[in-house]
Amino acid sequence: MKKLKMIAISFWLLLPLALSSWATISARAQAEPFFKDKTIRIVVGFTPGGFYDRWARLIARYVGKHIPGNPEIIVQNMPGAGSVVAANYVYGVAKPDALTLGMPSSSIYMDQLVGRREVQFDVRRFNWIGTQDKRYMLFYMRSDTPYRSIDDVVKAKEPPKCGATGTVSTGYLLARVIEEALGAKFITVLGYPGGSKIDVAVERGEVICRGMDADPYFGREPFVSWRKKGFVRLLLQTGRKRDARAPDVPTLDEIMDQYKTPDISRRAAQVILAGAEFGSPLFVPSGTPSERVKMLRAAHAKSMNDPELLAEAKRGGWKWDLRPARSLKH
Amino acid sequence: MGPSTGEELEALTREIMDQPPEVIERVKKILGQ
Repeated sequence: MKKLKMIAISFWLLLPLALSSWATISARAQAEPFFKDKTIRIVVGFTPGGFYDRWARLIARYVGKHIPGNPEIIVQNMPGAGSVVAANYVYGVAKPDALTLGMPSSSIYMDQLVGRREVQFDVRRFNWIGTQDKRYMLFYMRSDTPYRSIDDVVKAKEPPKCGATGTVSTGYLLARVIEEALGAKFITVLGYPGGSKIDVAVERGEVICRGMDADPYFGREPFVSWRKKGFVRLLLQTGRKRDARAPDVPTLDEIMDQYKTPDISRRAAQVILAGAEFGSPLFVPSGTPSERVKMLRAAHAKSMNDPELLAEAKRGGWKWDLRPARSLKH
Repeated sequence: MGPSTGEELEALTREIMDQPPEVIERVKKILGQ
């Protein structure tokens, strides 16, 4: 009986101490950032070395220091079906814990919009974290051909022959949009394994034109040499405003105004070309805790102003453009 | 190049995906689907 009494007294004496220790541990756990000692994975829907991959690796080097807890960031490439494989994985297989981010194609919404069977996601439910770039397009034509403007193409009896890799490529899409919106005609030769092969074909004269992303045109060979020699001329660009690097080249919007393109064709063109606004986008799946989404968005935004990231981007030849995102409405 | 926030991309996604059926059909036609 005496022993039981002693145990009871000890219990009541030690209880406050135990509670106090538990409260300290609990408070420390709550104050500990979720991302501390964690690894975040960016799943890129394309192969290593390309534009998407380069962006993911650049972001991976800097975003971690802006996330509370400073997690490690790694990049994993998961190519397939124009990034649908990666989007399906991040959306439906990865845990929605903010430790797996997806970087799909800028036009990933198109796969859902046209009802591709492989799609197992809903882009409306993506928690977008942000994007680093915009991918406006332009259309070049060999200078030694009679097509000096889009007007010449529209009026031509013989359509110019352009090169493209496949039916979801920039070149193919842009040619179809110009046909729909302006009534021009092109013969598109498909099947080139990459843009550089199309450029070689243009030099050989197999094809004479191509639609492509604007940044490579202004930043690398063979375009630097071509521009010096006047080998090609630009017929249009798809940005909302004229690019400062091509101030004399009309935008598609300007030409559509001139041609009085019907509203439905204009809207369809805008939907197709809206991918440019998504650049190299990052997302986490639906179900991710909202406070973690907020942390990732804030960290991404800080990274975009990180002097070290900007310096590295500059060294890599990437021009920083702070134009706001375009709206489909005019 | 030019950054956009997650909120801006969400708004753009809604705008694109909420197109009327006739616009979606026209998109499919342009893409040859």
